[in-house]
Amino acid sequence: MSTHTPDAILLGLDVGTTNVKAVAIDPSGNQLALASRPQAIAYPRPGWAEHDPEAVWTLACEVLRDAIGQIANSSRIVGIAVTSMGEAGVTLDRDGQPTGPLIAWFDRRTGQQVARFSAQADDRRLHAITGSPMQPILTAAKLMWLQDNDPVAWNRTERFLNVSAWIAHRLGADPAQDMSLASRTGLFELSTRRWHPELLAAANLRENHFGSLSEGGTRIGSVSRFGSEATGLPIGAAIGMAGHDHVVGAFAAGAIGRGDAADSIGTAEGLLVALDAPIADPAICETGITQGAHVAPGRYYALGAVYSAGASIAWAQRAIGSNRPVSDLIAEAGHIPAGSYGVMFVPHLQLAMLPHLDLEARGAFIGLSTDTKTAATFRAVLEGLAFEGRIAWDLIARFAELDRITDVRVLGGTAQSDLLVAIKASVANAQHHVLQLEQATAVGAAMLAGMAAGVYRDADDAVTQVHTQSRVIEPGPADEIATYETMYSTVYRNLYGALRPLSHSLTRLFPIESSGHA
Amino acid sequence: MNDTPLLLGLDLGSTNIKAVIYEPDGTSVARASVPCPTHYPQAGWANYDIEELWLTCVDAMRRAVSQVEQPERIVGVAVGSFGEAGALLDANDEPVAEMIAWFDQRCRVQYERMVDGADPDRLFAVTGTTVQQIMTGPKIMWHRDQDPEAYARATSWLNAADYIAFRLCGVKAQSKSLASRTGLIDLRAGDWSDELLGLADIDRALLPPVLDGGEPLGPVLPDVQRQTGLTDNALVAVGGHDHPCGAFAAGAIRHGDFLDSMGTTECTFLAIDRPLDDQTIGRQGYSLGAHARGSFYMYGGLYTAGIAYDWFKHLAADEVSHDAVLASAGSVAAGSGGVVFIPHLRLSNTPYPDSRVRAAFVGLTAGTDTPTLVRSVLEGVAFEARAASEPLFTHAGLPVPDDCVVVGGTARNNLLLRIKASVQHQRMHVLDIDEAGALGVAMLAGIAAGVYETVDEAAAAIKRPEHIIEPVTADYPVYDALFAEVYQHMYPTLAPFNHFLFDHFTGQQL
Repeated sequence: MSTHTPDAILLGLDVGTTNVKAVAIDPSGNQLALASRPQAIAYPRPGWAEHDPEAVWTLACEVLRDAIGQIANSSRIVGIAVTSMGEAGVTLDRDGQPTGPLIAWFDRRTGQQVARFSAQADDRRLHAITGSPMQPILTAAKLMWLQDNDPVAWNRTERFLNVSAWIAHRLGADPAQDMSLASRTGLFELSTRRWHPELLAAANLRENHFGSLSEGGTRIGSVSRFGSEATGLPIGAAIGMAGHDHVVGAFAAGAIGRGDAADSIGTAEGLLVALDAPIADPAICETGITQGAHVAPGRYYALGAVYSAGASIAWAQRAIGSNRPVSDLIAEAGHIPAGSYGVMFVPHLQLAMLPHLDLEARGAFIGLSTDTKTAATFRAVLEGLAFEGRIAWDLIARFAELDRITDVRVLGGTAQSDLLVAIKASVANAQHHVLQLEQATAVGAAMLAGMAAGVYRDADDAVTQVHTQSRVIEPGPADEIATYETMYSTVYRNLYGALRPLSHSLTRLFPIESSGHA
Repeated sequence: MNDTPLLLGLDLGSTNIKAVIYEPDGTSVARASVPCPTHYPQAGWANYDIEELWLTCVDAMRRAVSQVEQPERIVGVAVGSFGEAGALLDANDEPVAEMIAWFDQRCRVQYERMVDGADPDRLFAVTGTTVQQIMTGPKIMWHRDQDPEAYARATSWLNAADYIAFRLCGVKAQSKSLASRTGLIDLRAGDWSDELLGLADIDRALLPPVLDGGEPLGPVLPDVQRQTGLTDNALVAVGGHDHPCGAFAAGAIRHGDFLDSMGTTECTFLAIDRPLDDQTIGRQGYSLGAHARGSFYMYGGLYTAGIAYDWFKHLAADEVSHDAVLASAGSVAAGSGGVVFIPHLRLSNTPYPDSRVRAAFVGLTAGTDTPTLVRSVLEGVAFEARAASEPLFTHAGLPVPDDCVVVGGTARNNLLLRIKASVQHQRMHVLDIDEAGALGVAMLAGIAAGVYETVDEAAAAIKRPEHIIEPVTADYPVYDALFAEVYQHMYPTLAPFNHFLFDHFTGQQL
């Protein structure tokens, strides 16, 4: 049922931690409108972070009105979908009013609840079932926190909706739960794409505390009069199921087929590989690789993350780069040969996520000599990020029984990061395609809206129809690839394990100050 | 008329040749310093032209002597120098080859031939040191390989300082302290070892007798008197190796006296009354040697000490003044927030002799800033000095002293000294000595001339102005924990990675 609708306009709304953005695209992916507003966040106590649900809704409405105002004929809008940050949502009473705070995804208030949840569902088992290890940020722990700390509010709570589903619900959709964000609850069984009854019981939750489970791109309702009045969206426009922002961004990048790889480079970095079935080998739970349900229906993904990616570059600029412009430092690093004369960097400046989640890990520079100058150390930082990323690709490829990753779609790449991407291409010996897709997350939501509106037949059709320009960055010459291969296999791959006892001693002696996440 | 006797110490250093004239209490009354003329014919090679070296010494002495109103008051002259460099002379005492600098790297092949099949423990048991490619055996072998005809004419070999002393008075002798850096002597016997000479296939006749520092050689030759302004009153004495002579000047001469010479590199020096036999000492890279006169020493040290700070400042804070960099590093709390630096920027140090090493920072976090890194570099140098010096006391069966005497250029870095005091749990006594190396040989000249009766009397006669840097006792727990739980594990943790990186990348940057 392919509807040929070249005039159709699709809207994607991206509710993120720092910004709320809306884009409008035509079915080929051309951007017709873009609006963005900064998101507000409060830090009521150390380790706590909250958004005000009503303020988030108001902001979403403003951003949508702004974007729609940029479109000549808004009646051509046929669909909208909303994507949002990970483990964050709203508890609602029977009238749909919030009963508690909108706890930010990275909030760490749930220590006691995590301990209680762990007692009933051990970490390995949880990891094997849900694809993620026990973490204080999981939705289950947040809901248990409300149970423990505000029983009155919990008693009034009928349902929990992730931010994306909640905004969609206010626009007119049925209460729904997408599977990519369900994968971040600690309650969802990946292999069956269903809630896991024992895990629900362990968290004192029931299936009907959540919206009905829906695949990405499913039509979950239509824009209501209320939704239309609030935003300017036409009444009756399709509302599509989107989901977790990282996964929606990878969808926009076209990473939906088995082995498709997307590298999203920001302050943090996500290295995602689309899969058609979850990795079943329980040994995956020993690694820092997490898994989840893709927004492409029936598909999965495996994800490795680098917590301090852009953050490491910014750190090096301050700590060893005399605060000179990053562009200058990168230009000088470009004149240093591959291998940085043997200087190597480990980017675990806050924590390690590869090869294992390790909150006590620390960064390092090794291989320094009296000849070492700033440019070589700066290049070593870029190479360290590339080696760290290679760990993710190798782990995923090995466990998913994929051939080597040969092509990587790069999101968040800029001309300034070309040296980093070129190094990554040589380190991974893989072609890197830097996508010209600045608003990937919002565009991915719009594509899922297009599926719901019938503009695209299915996920593959959406990915085929949306043309994204890209620049190809090839791996370097054979000797460069060989140099990196030896450094990786001889040194980098073994470095984390060797430094671990030293890092743990240092972290015990000098606890790492919790970062601001501002 | 002033009849206070004067003593001239001439010190041949890699950078400068210094002539300093002292009163018997160590007060300097005249000085001259002339750059040491060094030639670099190719990468890794360094030579001295022997006649040019002599004329430079004459020039330095002449300038110093000319500052003294009554040169006849100069009653003693002695010469000290860097080790591991010497002159090969023919029967007419003309050089048959250039003098190869101590740090020259050309003699690897000869070194390997000399020690091939030899037991390193045995070599240490005889010589008190690890035989190295910079030592005399490989250098003489290189001359023989390079020009067999010239070598056939050679009749004697003299270490640099001993050669200059010979030119002053016409008497050939080898100072024991320099001879102990040749790798060819039996340290306990205090004489050339036939066993070691055999390994290098060197005829014993080539090597003049070994004498202790402070033994009289003879008056200054008439020609040289005219060139330098010295008179018949000046007796030339056996001098020696600059390190132990400097330690003698600093007062480190009796068993258990400890001296830390802080500079670009750092030398931790313990005076002992007899050579020690434990093979571990050699395996850990420590050396035993003959002291300036009569006793012995054991030393280890850091190849990168002060230079580590210079290196990092240049890397990360080149535009900022030293004062500002050190002030901001000084305001960072002890322990640098858990960032630890190991300063193996070119070679590792005792107790882990290993040439295939690199330096590292561990414990980096998002909050690590430049001042924190600078402080961690200084703390790393202090940890390394503690690691290098503690085994000296263990081997000698002595407790680590509460006081540490320091000399040298880096001893002007008060933040480093304060960190060092706290890391080593020691009070730092920073001596203000004018050219310790020159003073040490001047004191030996004074013994020969009868200005002092004994070594102890000479050491006691010297005035040594000092200032004291106290440790911060509140910092002991954090430094002890970092040292024991982290620093001591860094070398073995990083060694396999460093070996790879060293083998793969060293030389690429040249």
